[in-house]
Amino acid sequence: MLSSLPTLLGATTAATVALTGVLVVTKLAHREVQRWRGTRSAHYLAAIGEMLSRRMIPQSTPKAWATDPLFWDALAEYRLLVTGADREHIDRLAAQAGVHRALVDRSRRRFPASRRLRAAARLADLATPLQRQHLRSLLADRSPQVRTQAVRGLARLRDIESIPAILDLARRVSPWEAARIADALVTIGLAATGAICDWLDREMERPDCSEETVALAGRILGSIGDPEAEPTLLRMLRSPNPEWRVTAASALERTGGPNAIEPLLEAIDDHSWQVRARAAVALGAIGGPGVTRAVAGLLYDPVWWVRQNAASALSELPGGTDHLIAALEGPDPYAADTALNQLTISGVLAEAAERVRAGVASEKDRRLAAAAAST
Amino acid sequence: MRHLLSSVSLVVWAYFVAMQLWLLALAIGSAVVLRRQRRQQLFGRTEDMLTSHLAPPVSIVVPAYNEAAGIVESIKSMSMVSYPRFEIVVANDGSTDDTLQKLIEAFDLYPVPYPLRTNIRTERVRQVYKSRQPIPLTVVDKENGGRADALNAAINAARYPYVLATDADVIIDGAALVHAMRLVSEDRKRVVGVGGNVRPINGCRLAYGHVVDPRVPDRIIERYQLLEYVRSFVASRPAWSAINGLPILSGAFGIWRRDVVVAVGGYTPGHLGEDLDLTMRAHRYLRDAGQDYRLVYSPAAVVWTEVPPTRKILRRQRIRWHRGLMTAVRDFRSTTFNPRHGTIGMVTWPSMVLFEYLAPIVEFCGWLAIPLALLTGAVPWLTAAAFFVLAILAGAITSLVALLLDERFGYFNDPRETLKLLTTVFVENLGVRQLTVWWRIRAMFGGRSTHQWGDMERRGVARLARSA
Repeated sequence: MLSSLPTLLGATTAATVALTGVLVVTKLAHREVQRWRGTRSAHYLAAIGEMLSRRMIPQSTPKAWATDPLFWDALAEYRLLVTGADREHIDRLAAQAGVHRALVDRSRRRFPASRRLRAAARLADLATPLQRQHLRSLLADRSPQVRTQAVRGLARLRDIESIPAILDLARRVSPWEAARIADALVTIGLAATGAICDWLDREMERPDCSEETVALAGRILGSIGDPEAEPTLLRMLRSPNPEWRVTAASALERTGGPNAIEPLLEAIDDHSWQVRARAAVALGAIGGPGVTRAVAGLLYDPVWWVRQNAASALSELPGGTDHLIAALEGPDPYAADTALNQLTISGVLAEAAERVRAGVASEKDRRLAAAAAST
Repeated sequence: MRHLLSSVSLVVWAYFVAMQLWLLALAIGSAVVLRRQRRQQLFGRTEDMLTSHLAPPVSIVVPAYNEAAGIVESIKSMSMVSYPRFEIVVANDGSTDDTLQKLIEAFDLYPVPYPLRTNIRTERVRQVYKSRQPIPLTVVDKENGGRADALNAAINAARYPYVLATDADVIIDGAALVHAMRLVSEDRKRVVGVGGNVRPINGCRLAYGHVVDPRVPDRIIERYQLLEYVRSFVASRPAWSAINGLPILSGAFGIWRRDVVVAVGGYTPGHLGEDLDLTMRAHRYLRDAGQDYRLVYSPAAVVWTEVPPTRKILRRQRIRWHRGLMTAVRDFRSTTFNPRHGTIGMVTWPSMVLFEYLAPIVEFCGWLAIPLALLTGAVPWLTAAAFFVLAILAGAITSLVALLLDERFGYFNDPRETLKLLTTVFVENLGVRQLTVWWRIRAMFGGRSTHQWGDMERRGVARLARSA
């Protein structure tokens, strides 16, 4: 070992010197690249700003601009900042500079994934209806990230016809990309409801349906909040799949109307506590005859979250506070604790205590204060 | 005697070589992981999560004990974190300074009758406050019970399914939460915890609650810690994360699924290494329950923290850390080489015991044995000198590899900063490192005087950093 010490020492010294050199060169190179990129970005932003303020579209722009990702970034950044006529001006400028053509070309299969993704991401920000067909073709790209960007672009163009293909795509991607696809579809808004409901109705019938994608589509409908989705969500609520039922109950909180009350009242007896908890919230939001008494029953549920959601819903429902006071005075300590929490949050308890202090308390106030003190 | 001294010297050298090789192996593993994560990050467009309706909500829980110097700045920075849905829950752990008063004034707090779920038992909560400003801030004022107890109280008050445990003296990078929660979103069923990349804030330039210009600090003791953090968070944890063997989610940035923290009983009050303890208990609990889980690390989730700027404060911190490790080694001895605990039992914990817990003892033996061996002629001077240079160079190689991996963040590219870093790489082994070894020896054999937490004197991130 000792005889090989000089060799070892030499090798270690050489490695140290080499690593030091590489580190210094890398740091200096990074510094210069950062400077160069910063300068060019600033140059592009200034040029676009100038053209925008003068309402000017140049006859020709340097060829390099169209293929420069920094120019794409600058255009996309500006497009996000402006609206109306300014935004249309940016679109015309992008078309005149040949950016759309370059983006379509760069997102074709022959380029490596990183380049395709960068182009697809910018195409999603800058595309006009003329690129719709190309974006649809990108849904078949081998990279899931490129496909997700194509979805974003199509959603921005409000391409309703692509929705079934997009939802089919969500079956084959990771949860992260599926969530991004869902986010994109939510941005379409009410116009997407019909296509999503049709897809869901078909998918739920299929024996090999993707359970997770159905739940995701249900969540999209909930986020959009269109009452037109109610029949489909009610079908989901009656399905044997507990995740679908939870999703449907959550979505009905925003989309449900009087027709949803009966199925939701059935759902509060569901064996899954998540369904019961979400149904309580949805019923609290919708209201209606018989709802208060049914939700009050959930104050005695064995699961904390169900009791908590029921108490929260009761404070929104007419006559709900009376049920909370009854639970506070009742023999069930868990229901009493939940009711006490809710009455505290909603300020009912503080108001009653104030009236007791001021000597203008009603019988109900005194009962409430006494029950709170004893809980 | 000479034979004994020679043997001890040889064992110390062998141990040192093994440790450097182990660190280098971790660095190479980390390089592979970082490359993969960089591709994912580049292609995955994490920023899309910022407008997502499906982003899991997070409660940022912050324990605060006598943090008046920097609490307002930190909370302001936290409230500017880019994430669709989050809340901040500060637990004022019976501070004796005006931490609570500063919070009340800065955020226009008012007392509320907030119902607390006592999932984890804590010291008595005196009052809960909410902010009138448009900041999702809750402050739990409680009686003093230590950092772990304060974290538990904040977790009880947290509403969301994920909690980010952090410190009151940190600046969370704007995109940190979204980068970390991306890992949760990718594998929501299995990921129960995400650790972040902690970096020293000393010397950096701050503006509007954000680090705008990361700098290498001037003092050697701070620069030494900067290198330590880079070696640990950039050149080691990514590799641990890849094999699901992370021994610790740092206390400065650790995202946990709330139900897991509650299931293991929360942080252990009084433990000097409560983050290490919680991580190990979570591993043990989930392994014993036969769950398929992942504890992961996100190098892109950057959080800036104040590191001790003086020898006195560093000494206290290192003694505290080592005592925390000692307690953990005792508590988790059944995990060491336990095949039922998988990677954590067979790789992570044995290596922690060997290269972290025992390191100061072996190194200290080296300090005693090698000079004696030289004096008695058991080891020739030339050989000893060669080994000494070799040791310094091997340590430098590990640091240089870590700094190269750190290049992905693009920090410290100014020539002067680079020079400061390179100087530290070669100088850190000539004094500072030996001091930390001595402090860890004190922690092991120093008796009751080292059993205290000791107040960490906060200068406040705003004062430690340079204003832009």
